[in-house]
Amino acid sequence: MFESAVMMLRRLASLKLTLVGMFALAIGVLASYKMTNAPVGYVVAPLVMLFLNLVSALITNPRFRRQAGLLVFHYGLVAVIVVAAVGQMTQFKGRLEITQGQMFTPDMVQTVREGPWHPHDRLAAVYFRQGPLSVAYAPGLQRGRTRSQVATHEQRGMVSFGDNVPFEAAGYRFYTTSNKGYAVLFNWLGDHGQASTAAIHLSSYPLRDWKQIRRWTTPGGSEIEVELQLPQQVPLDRSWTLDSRDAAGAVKVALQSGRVQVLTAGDEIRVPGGRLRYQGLRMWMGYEVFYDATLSWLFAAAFIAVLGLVWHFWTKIWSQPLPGVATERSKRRVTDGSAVGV
Amino acid sequence: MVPPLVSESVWLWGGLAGYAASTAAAWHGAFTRRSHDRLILVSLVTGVALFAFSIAERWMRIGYGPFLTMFEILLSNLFSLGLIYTIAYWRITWVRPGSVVALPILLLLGLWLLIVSAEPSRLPATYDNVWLWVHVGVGKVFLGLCLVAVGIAGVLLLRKSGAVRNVFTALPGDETLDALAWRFMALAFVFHSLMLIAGAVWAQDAWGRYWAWDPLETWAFITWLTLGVSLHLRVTYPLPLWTGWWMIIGVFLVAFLTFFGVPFLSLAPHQGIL
Repeated sequence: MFESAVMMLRRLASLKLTLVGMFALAIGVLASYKMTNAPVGYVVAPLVMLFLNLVSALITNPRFRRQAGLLVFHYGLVAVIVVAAVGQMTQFKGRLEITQGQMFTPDMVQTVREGPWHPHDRLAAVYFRQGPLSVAYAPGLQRGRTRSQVATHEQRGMVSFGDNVPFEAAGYRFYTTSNKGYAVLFNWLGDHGQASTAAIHLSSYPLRDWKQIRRWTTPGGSEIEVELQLPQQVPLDRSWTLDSRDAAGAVKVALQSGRVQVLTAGDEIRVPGGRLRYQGLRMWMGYEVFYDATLSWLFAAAFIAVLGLVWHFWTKIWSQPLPGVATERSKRRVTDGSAVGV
Repeated sequence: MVPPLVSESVWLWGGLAGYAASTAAAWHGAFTRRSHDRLILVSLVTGVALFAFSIAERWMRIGYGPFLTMFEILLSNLFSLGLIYTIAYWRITWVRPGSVVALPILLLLGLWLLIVSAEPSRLPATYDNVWLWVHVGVGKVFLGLCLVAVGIAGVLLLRKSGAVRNVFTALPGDETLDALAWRFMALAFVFHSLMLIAGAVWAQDAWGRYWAWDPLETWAFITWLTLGVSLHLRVTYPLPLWTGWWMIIGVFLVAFLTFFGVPFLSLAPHQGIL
């Protein structure tokens, strides 16, 4: 029983299988690259094969184990595969839109991908309030630096971040995106005394500056159309900055009855079931949310693997003289007779 | 399209002239069996320095480094490949015969540079990251080391072929040069591995994911795998030496395609580049 298991491991540890696995992985990667919706197994199956092949070689091949650098490199590769797999199981990807001044709540997040081991309630530990944001544009509407600010428990004042610097909270990373725009803030005052606040997110700005209009159903149940009227056009021929602190504009509200009214900040309009007060214009920011607890481990495993590779190449190749070349030391040894045992 | 005649293109033409002179000297030396090592080295150093001036001047003019357009990628590689090859040429005597193969490749890149648009683009904010520098830097060292190995492998194949059999007879034996070429490939494997790691860290910061199998990531991984397979084949199977030389050239071709083909053939080489 034991012997047959060892035999099987030896077969699995075959170097031919290593090469077959590497070729299969290359083909799998290329197939996944060329085909849309290619099965994940195209890449995972050769990786599992290579993983088993490598682990078997580590167990059954004493020559392999004697080469410390090579061993570290291959253990590093095993660690990379294992850690990346664990990362996929715990990973979370999502997106959210949040209005300036609004508190973050987990229900804002739209899940894109969630690994089965991701702790569902973890997002509840994230606390921040969205602050001001700004995006610089070069002539021709080319997006430059994005800066977003949030208020947190941990730090006094605002935390500033954007582009390749994410905001980090409870292990989650919040990345700014190109998706941002204006939000129209209304106070709802119902006929029976109910009061609430609503932020209506208009389309991404300035990408869809021509479509700053949206239908919305009031808490009273009537549908209205809200159209933003900005005081200026998007400048195309010069640099400019989209800054939430400068957000200002009137809104044109059209009711189902056909009545149309333009509101400036502080104005009210009577709608079926209550009144709407236009509180003012804010901005909303779109974020991508990412969680992967294994990132540092993955980096460490990959880096240690490379160090093992350097160690192996140094001891086996680079520190050795080239074949057919006599080094100064070996020449001296030949000259003084020590090399031939005289 | 010839770049506009601003002062940076004067440096550029000078750099190309340096590489052309070193290529001509290498070929003349090989066929006349005369040593032009000093002339080649001086021409290479001049070429590298002039390309460095050209990059610096363009950088100051447009406000960002050579990271985006085909013109910039070619220009920066003419500098980096030239620099790495020059150091190898200067320090390791047996690298020098490989110049008859390696330097025409550099010159080819230079000629390619003259027909691509020199129009600047705009650096995305996600490119302002120290890991981009590490990623690009170690990537260029990888390709430079491959170029040195390709030079040696090319000479070995030329010597083996009937056409120029008598030209490289004064060189060391096949085993010695073969081992030297593979030393460079081993070092290239280390730098390629570092390039993948640094690129993953940059991608995580820039786009919120460390690996997404985008075209450039896919081809960079294929290159790493090709080099890994080649190193594995060489140490585990007693293949004829010449198969190894072809493998070196094969790895270089895949790497060349990854560096100069994929980013400009696909619409979105790296997510967020545009």
